Amino acid sequence: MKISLLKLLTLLIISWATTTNGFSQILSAYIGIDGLTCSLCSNTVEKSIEELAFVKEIKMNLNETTAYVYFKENAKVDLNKLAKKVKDAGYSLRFTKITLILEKDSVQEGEIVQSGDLQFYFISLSQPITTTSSEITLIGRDFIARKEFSQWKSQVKEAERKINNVSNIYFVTN
Amino acid sequence: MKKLLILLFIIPLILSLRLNAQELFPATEPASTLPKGLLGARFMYEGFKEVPSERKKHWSAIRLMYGVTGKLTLQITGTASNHHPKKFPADFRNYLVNHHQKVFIPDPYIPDGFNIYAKYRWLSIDDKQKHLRFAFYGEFAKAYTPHSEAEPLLMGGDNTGVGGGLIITQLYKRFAVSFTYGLAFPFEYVDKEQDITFKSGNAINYNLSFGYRIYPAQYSGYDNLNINLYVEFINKQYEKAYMTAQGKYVDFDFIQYEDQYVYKSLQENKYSEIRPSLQFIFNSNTRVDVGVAHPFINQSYLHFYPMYFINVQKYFFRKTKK
Repeated sequence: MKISLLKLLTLLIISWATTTNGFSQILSAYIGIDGLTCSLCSNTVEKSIEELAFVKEIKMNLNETTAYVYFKENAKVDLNKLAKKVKDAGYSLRFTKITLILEKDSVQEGEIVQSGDLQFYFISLSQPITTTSSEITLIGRDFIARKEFSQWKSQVKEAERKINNVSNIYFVTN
Repeated sequence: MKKLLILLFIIPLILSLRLNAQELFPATEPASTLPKGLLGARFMYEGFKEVPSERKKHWSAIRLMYGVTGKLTLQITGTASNHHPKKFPADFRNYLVNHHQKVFIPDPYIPDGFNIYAKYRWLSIDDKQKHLRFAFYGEFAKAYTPHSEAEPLLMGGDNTGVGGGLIITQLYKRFAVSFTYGLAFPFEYVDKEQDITFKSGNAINYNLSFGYRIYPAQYSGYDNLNINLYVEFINKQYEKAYMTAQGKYVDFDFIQYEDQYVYKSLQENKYSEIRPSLQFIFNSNTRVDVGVAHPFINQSYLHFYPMYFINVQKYFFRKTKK
């Protein structure tokens, strides 16, 4: 009983937070960048990403060529712009992961979840979501390695057929 | 030759040491392009001693580079050197024969041309710490001074002309290799006043570059000093020079008995030059290359050997207010 009360309270707080400011509840993204080896190249990618107005800070792992990108609170986060910056720097994303705060603790495959002003379509679920905070992986031509995207291609196409307006929707899995 | 053997021994040794590759080639361009909106500048210097005059010859250039888009990079290079006279002396036959001699008037150190270069990366196959890239390039060069060798050089200052080609760069963890296949078409140099024309030969370039990161093996931050080793082969094939004076074809045979070096510099040739170099990168931005060029198979007659070169490059990142 206590637990469900706590859940209810959390949900209430989250729904209040999301409805009042309307901004996304993504505070950071964890990305892998392909095609990089030298620190000079990593530096150019980091400086490119830093130019985005909604980015607060970026922490690059030079050996693994991965980065944590921290977003400003109450800022309009645009993940497509983040992917474009990496592409325009001459590199590509190997993976893009974000921690999403959900308004409920269970999500079905094919369900669209709203988080602030962003919408996420769960294309598949590797395991059931049971918490309100979940790490999810973005599925898209510019968000994951080319080889990996080819495995998702048919599922993405099918999802696109189901949804009328796909312009503001990110396809995801967990 | 000994140095060369040592070098050829070092390459497989470095490969076996499992070090990381680099593709920031000092003597050639990689297929990679600059990030969109990024401005960079490079100072370049080449120096050698002219034989037999023992005069020091200098060539220097300032290059500005800009990422127009993530795939298109533009470069503008302005050059200055003491490689050429302002125009052919009236007694150009004497000039051709004797300009490497100590008794001859040294060429002035003057700004002598510019080069505009565009590179478009049309294919990238990226993976974790590796990539394969293809790029096309095109260039235009303008020279304000006369060139008196068969080998064309579109770097600015030597030949006015156009060129273009293909670059393939492969980075595979510890191994980076880049291949450039390019054509160069120098235009005819015309001196209307003296009624002299000179045309260097058309050329094919097929350069091959290798690069390795010696230090650090693992990064701990952007402030780590990077040391990279490069071995590049500048390979070129070109036609002989064609000259006219007062409307008549100039036969270079008379030079053959005066100066073999000058005579050869006007003939068709095929050569390979090896350019080992060391690169130091400070704060993941400022890049300093120091290297030397040696003949490998035949030689270039544009410069004497050894030719030393230094590059200093820096990117100007936009300041972001956070």
